[in-house]
Amino acid sequence: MSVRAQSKLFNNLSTALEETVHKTMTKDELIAKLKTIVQPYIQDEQAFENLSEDTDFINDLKINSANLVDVILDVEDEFDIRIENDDMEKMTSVKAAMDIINEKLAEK
Amino acid sequence: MIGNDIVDLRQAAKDSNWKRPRFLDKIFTSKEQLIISTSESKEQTVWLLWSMKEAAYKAYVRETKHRFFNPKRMQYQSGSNNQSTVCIDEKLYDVKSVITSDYVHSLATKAEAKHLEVHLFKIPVVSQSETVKAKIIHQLSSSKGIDSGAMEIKKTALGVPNAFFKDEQILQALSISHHGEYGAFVMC
Repeated sequence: MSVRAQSKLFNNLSTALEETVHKTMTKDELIAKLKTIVQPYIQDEQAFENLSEDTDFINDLKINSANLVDVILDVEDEFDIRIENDDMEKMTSVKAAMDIINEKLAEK
Repeated sequence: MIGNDIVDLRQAAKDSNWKRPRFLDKIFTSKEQLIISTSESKEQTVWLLWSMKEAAYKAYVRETKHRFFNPKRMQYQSGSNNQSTVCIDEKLYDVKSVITSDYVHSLATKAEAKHLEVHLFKIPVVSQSETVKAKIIHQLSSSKGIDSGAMEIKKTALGVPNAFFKDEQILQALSISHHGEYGAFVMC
């Protein structure tokens, strides 16, 4: 392989790598975004203030289940992804939501 | 196995925009969506089907001790005169609904549920959960003669409630629901 071709390949690789880095977010960025999304629907302020990976949308934040559908739709819009019902089924906590969002972002 | 769900129609109109794109798709099967689109009051039908599915889900969680979030897995099968059948996987639930211009209430049972008591009432919009719990304790205290000060309503990790007297479970089953200005509980 010529030096030129090698350097081109290297450039392509680093661009691809950079894109991957941009697509998946850090844990803190993701939690911050999720916090903004769920805020309009929460019914427990204290649990919202203390929101962490372990927070449960229904048991802790007391989000009503119809509004949990809104949370899912807002997540879809915000990250430009689509969440099938099989994935949605697991999205009852912040941690589970983060895993699914990252999975979908990586697929993009 | 029992489960009940109440929807305050005015509150639902405030909380949820069911006309939002993809909202109905996430919740309702194609059969259910057809019922909604051909019904006289689409809004009422949305919340009627929703409450039927939620009531069946609560009975299912009590029975299987398994939680999930996928409203499409609760499926309306058939029904007439507010008596319907909802299935979740292979399990069937009988669902009775009451529809008024103010609220929709559904009660899901399995055939073996007997001696059911249904209570439905108006509640203040603040501290709804506490108000409903106090009503349950008051009811149990007058019907069973148990000291209300020693009773407690607690939920398991799965969110299934029961009434306790000195850490002993009093009821075979208890299902609680509240929304907006309405509260309801069913016990046996």
